[in-house]
Amino acid sequence: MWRYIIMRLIQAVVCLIGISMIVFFLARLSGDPALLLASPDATAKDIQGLRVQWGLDKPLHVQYWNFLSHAVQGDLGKSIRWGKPTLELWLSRFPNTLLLGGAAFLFSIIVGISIGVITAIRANTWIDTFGKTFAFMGVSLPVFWIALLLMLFFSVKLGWLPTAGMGTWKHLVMPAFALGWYFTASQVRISRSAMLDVLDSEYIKLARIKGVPRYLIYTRHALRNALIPIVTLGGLNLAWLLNGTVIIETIFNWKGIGWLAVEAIYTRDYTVVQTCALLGSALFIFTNLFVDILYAYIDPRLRHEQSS
Amino acid sequence: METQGIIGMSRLFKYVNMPNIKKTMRKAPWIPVVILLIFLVCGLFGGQLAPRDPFKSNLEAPLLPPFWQQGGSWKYPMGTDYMGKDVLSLVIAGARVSLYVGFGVVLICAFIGVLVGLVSGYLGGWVDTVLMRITDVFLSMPALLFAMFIAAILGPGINKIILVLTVLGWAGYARIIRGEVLRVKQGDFVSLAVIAGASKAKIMWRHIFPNIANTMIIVATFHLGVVIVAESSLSFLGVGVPPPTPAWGSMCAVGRDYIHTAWWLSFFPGMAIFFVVLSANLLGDWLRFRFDPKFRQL
Repeated sequence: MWRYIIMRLIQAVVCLIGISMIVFFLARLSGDPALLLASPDATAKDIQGLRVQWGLDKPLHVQYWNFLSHAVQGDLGKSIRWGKPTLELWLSRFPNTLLLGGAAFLFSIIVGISIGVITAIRANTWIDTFGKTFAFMGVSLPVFWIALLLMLFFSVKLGWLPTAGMGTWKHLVMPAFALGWYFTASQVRISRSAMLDVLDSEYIKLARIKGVPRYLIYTRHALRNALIPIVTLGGLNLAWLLNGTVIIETIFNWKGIGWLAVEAIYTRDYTVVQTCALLGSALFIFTNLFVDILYAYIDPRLRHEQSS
Repeated sequence: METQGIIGMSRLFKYVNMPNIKKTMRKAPWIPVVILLIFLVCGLFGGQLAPRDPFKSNLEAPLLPPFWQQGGSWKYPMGTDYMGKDVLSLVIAGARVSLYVGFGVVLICAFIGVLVGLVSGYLGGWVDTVLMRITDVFLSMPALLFAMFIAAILGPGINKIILVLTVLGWAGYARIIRGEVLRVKQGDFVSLAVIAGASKAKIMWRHIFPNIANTMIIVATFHLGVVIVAESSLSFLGVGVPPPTPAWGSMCAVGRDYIHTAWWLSFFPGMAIFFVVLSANLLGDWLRFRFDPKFRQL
């Protein structure tokens, strides 16, 4: 078990180093940062001064090494536009994304598992068809279009919810729903197939013969055993959710990390973009790692395999 | 001579196995296939098919609603935009971008992914380790954030969008194809080919590839939907296809500014994306059900 965890940890770190390289060189490709830093009437000498000051005159691999060694110590550079440390900026926006992502996650888990379980119990009926259609619509609708339709209906036509911004729970409803629907769909599919697998097994048949009440079969016997793939997908979805907020945050003016990244890209604030991409990937990799370890822990079959 | 011909015909029928084909086709998802065909035709001949010139503005008729609403007419069935351009024609012409980007990205990604997957899965060893670690890196990039990042660096342009989405898309194929190769290469026919002295390249291409082609097609069909959504998302955010070219995503972005007054501007292009992507997903689901041996036994 420990060996497995350590192996996965090393893999995650290697992955992160690979990403840091890609991010760093991509950011340098976007143009000379010194030109962005300088005021419009700066002379060539001023610009050269800025290069020296920010360490941009050194060769690329030296710059990368400086970047990496500072990053490990928690210093990800200062924003060109705001002059604040980028880590601070990112951390100040992160709770907002966590709130939005968390709400969307809860929505997708609750609705997704319920629909998945119900469609599995009533397989091949109209309820099943309905659930399948719902799932397919979720993965086929572009997120920005759902957001626009919701806005059109609930804000413009009915006037129930505010179009954009943040503050009250009313502001959270539409973005969370629009973001959550896509993930609900995948949750429905996996819950349905996991439940169908379990419902087909011998011990469920035995429970039926024994005369266990139906609701107990479904909840205590079947769902518990179907939970492993469902939990795995849930974890993966959480990682995607926190990174998938870019569009939703832009549409609804939600001040999270997604919007921070978009703003930084538009204003060519490359240190902020670097930080967003790097921390976003780290978030993703470590959530995956956590899910893998959790998976190994909750699945008794896997646990024994690893220890023996 | 004649009898020989008839025998030949009957033999042919025996191999084609007519009843089976009929059975297969009866359960084919015809509606998605038809929608995808319409999409294909609109993408290829959009300029000729559009009832009006999608680039010609008519400032006397800006923001007309669709025909069933008051003020709308059959002349502009889906209404007009703020410049008086026909929305229906714009939607038809916009199919080209989605088609071009969609198929371009899927083909290139499938090629790279299958190549990496085959080599990695068949050769194994350190080649496998190195290739799979690289694949891991590409799989763990938050896709949309990186797509925007790269697109913003490269600048707008349709071929650049293909490049961006290819960079972010091939790893998924590599991972799945490698898994399939690991399974297929256990087969006796591979060992026999090795004994017969076939080269590694020949074994990969002639013996293993035909066995994973189904998987590749299924993955590609689902990927088509993903790519079309990704392209429209980038165009929606303004880092995709540049403005004069009609694209569904950028049309939705324009419609967003008119959401209070002219809902049809963003509704119809979004509808087009939805139908095409839904069709690709339904077709992929059917293909998987049909060709995946795991499902066939059910």
